[in-house]
Amino acid sequence: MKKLKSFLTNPQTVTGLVILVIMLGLAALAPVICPGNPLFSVGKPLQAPGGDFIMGTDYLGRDVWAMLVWGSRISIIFAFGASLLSLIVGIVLGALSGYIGGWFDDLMCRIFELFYIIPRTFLVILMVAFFGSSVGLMVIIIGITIWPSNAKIMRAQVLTLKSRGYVQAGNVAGGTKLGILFKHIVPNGMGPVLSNSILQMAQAVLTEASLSFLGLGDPNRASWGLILNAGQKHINSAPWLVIYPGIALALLLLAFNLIGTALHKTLNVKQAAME
Amino acid sequence: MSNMTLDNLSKKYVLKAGFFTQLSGRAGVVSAVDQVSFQMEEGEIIGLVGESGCGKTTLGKMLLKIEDITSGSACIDGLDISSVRGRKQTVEFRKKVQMIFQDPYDSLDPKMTIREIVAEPLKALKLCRSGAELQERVSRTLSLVELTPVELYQDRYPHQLSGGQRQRVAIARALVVEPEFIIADEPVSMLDVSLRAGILNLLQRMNREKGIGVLLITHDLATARFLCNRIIVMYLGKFVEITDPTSLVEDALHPYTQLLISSAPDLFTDTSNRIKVEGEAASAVAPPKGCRFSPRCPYAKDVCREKVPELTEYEPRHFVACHKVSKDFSNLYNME
Amino acid sequence: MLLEVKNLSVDFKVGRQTLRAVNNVSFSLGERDSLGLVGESGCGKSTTAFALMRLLASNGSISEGQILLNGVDLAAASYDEIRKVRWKDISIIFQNAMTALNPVQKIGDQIINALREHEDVSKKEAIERAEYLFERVGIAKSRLMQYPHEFSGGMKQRAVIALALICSPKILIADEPTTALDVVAQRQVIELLAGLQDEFNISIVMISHDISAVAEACRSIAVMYGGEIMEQGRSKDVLIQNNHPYTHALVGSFPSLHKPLSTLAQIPGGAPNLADMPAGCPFSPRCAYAAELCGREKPDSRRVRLNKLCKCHYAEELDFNKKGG
Repeated sequence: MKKLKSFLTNPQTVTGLVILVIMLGLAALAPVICPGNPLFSVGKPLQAPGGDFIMGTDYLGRDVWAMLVWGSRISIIFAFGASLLSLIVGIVLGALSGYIGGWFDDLMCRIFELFYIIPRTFLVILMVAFFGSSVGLMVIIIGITIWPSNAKIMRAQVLTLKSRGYVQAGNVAGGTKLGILFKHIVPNGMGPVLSNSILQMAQAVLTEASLSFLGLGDPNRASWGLILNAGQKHINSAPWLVIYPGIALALLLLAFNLIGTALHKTLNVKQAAME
Repeated sequence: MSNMTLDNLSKKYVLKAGFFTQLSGRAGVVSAVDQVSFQMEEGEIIGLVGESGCGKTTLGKMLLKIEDITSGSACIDGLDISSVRGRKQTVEFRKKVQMIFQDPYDSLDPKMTIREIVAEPLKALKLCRSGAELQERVSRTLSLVELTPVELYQDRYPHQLSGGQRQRVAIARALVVEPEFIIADEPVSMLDVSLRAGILNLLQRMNREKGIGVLLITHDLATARFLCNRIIVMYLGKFVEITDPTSLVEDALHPYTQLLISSAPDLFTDTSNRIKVEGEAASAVAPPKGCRFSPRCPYAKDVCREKVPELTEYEPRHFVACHKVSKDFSNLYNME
Repeated sequence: MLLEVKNLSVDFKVGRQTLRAVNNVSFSLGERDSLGLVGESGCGKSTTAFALMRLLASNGSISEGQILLNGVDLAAASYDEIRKVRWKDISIIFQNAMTALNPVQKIGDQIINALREHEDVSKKEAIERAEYLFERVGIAKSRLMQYPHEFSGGMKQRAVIALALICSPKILIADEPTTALDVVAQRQVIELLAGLQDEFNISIVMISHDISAVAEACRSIAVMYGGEIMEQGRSKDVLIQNNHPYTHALVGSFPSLHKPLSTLAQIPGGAPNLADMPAGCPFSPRCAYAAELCGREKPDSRRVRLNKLCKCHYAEELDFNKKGG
């Protein structure tokens, strides 16, 4: 519990959490803050920030602030959705791979590597071309392209933990193999996987933004990438179209990175130094 | 009440080697435990003593089904261990045989409370019908190992306890299923001296009060002498001498046992005329031909280097595997 | 006197607390002398030894006292001065021989490098000295240029001893040199340490929880508890004719091959908590003979029979050998 306390009182974590909570608040309260569909035109095109529109409007006269607020939903969904998927798949496959060992482990490792070498953006473009761009599909696609790193970390954890005394003790206590794996080994090896997952959230957000920027996002939903996409042609005359979503994106990535690295550091401190 | 019979029990490991070496059949084989036989009686505490790498821990793991048996058989309470297959039989087996591990810092899951740790075997083996019964058995066992008041300890995590207390938790986990047989692998070697006596006394009490058979695996003869009814001395995978503690200390017959006893540091005895140490401990990877102790044995003759001595009953209940004391060859040694 | 430690205290800063790990410890070591520091984990024996070489962790410091090596106070010496002393004058064998050797370097190279770092000798001469030491610690000199993994545990420990002795130090500190070893290897190391004293003219400070090993290796012994030396004197005098209840309890809890079989005595209670030490004698909460005075007032160290020093209010009255014989 000392560790948890030192993690939560760390200035890095606090900064990250504050940003994240604000973002979550915006996403949750979007209908209250900016009622109505953000993709509807509400004013003159390319209006500079100030007046009715604090962040101005784009070339279709859409409110950038409203799109930004609603867009945070997409970013959050991608962050948590894709990393949760990656976490579950990574833990299960990595744990089984390390625990069962032998030819199964060899096979799984080749599969991890296969997923590593598939270019993520290429795969997503392919999928979007085939199945259209829905949010759910894209979350799944991003999720299944980022899980191998979680799997590799979990596998390494299992390999070191499976010779621990309490794992043997669990066996002697009469536990089943799967029971021991998920009761004793996985919980004790979760730390590094969790901190990696938080860093992956940043990755997922960034991937989504770049896809939307390329025009491959869901055109019926406001997202930060969409604003950037709309702004690229007017970058000289209306820089606010790029600046505000850019700042939002940078802040969210910063938050995930701060929390992720802080968690990583907390977990890596030698046990001896903590006691 | 329990008994244990080992019959020519062996464990061999094949060393990792290149493909061609394996093909040609020249891959190294380690015989960690080599054809050991023993008959344990009901309610005994048996000490298994030897140096690290002599195979004592491997033997213990075979008896627990953590390691597979290569050949021979081991029966606990009439149940042949290698015949235990499938979930149902494994559950029955785990109810009979439990273990206390060496390192209490390693054998308790740091993420579980003491209550969860002690309850684990009860849950895994489905020994309790209700939560109340579970709690009752956990409390009873914790007070048995003198972790009282139970309420004070059961919700703590292992890192909040001292080494001695942790080892008591480990003992409670082994006792909670009311096993007939416990294997204790160096249960006190990681503990402070002043706490060891408490753990050893506890094991002795369990044996006397509940008749639980104990196999104490240790490198420390003095601990084994204190606790055990009989002691097995093991060297490089072989049993070399089996007898009761008193005769072991006063009347050791095997040269290796004599070396061990003479080498043990002791406050209360004169250590000036010790048996000389010859050579380094050989490895089980390439065990010497004949008697495995022969390269280090001051009495070794040609026969020792060629023929493996059998474990024979030299005096009633005193078994030795040494040509020097066997009738067939003793004349060789007396001539000098 | 070669080494004199006077009223040494070591403090550790843990969070906001300052814990005293070693409290007012004094002892001395003559030439070709040997002293054993014994006690249970957390009693301060290793901290004392590390303080002698100024090897304390960064949150620890010597708060009081002197460490006089040939009259020079190491406790007040600068870092550079200490560096000159280490290995050349005082050398240490760490608890775990397996980790003290670099696994990817030949043992011989490690020894030679250590020597050439401190002394200006040719490689040939360095090899000769290393070979001589190897033979002396009982390892064939043909094995000098082997890697650590080719050695057994006992051989590694002896190789580490050779490594520690290569610069011919005056004092050798051995931290639990036998703990990880088997009985026979243990005995070889103890006999080796005792034998080296005369030949190399070194003094040994041995730290161990194993009283019988220390009794064999060391002429005198200091029994530590809660950071303090409870009883010190000649080994057999302290361990067989105890005056301090803690020494008596410690010896009593040790199973022996030869003493009569009876139930082993367990010391009640647990190891002392440095953050919460009693006002009086640190052992008083666990002591079977503690009186009201013991919890209130710290006993002074004073001379008792057999020229021993003992820190107990009732050292004179408690004679454990009358009943036991």
